[in-house]
Amino acid sequence: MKKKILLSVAILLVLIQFLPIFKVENQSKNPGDLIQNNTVPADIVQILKTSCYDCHSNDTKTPWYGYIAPVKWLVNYDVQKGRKHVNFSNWNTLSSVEKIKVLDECADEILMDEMPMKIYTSMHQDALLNESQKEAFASWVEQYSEELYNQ
Amino acid sequence: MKKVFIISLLVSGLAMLSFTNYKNKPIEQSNQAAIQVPANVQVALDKSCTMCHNDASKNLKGKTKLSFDKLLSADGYPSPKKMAKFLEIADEVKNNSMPPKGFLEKNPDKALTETEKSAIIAWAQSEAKKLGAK
Repeated sequence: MKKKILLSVAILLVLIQFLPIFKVENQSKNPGDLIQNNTVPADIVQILKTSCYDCHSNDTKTPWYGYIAPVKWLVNYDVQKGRKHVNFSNWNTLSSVEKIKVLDECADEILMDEMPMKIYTSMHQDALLNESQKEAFASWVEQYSEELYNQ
Repeated sequence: MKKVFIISLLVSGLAMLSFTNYKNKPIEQSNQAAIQVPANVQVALDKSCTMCHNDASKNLKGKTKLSFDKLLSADGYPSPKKMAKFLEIADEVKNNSMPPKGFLEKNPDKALTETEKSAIIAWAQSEAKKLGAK
């Protein structure tokens, strides 16, 4: 009986790998990317790449467990949701006003520890931001928003 | 007697100089003006928003994300931030994200009526436009 259950679970696990749920695809070329097309200070690039880009860009670095269902579905669901909300790979398609609004929301969420999400930092300790990084990000947002506003 | 005359001449000269300086001193002006809130909007904001979104609020998240004190005063947030905040206010009220559901469950009397929502949205959008949003 135990063997049968184990075998059924194993078969089920294999079968669910082929279900096309929450598919996420990366793009190698992103001509509208924030980092590639704008002068972003090195410390901010580091923050964006380590703490934001996995969910908020077309350049998601998926860990090994992110390829195995059902974990894959959860990871891809978060990435889909993240890209839909803010996608830094499409940054230059936004108007200056939209960029200022997105930046303001990003700074607030980072200052309030709402981003990066806890489920993400539990698996990516390097994505955790310390107080000085949060302040640096908020200062950059203020400065960049001012530049965008005066364009 | 001569001394008294010279001293009083000096004093009046100095007084005249300082008066001229005062007159020529430019009036320090902020590049932003305080934002006026229509009475009906103010009532709605006081009912459902400002108790969390003010500088003295104990709600850290609420006051960090938005302080009406900083939003409305001339020397508060810089203009880009004010514009962003007005757009966010309009979005949050439109999407019924604010006031938060949990807060409304405990304080059902703080829910905004449709008229109040429309007034806040229209005001926030109009202020955002004044600050440069399209």
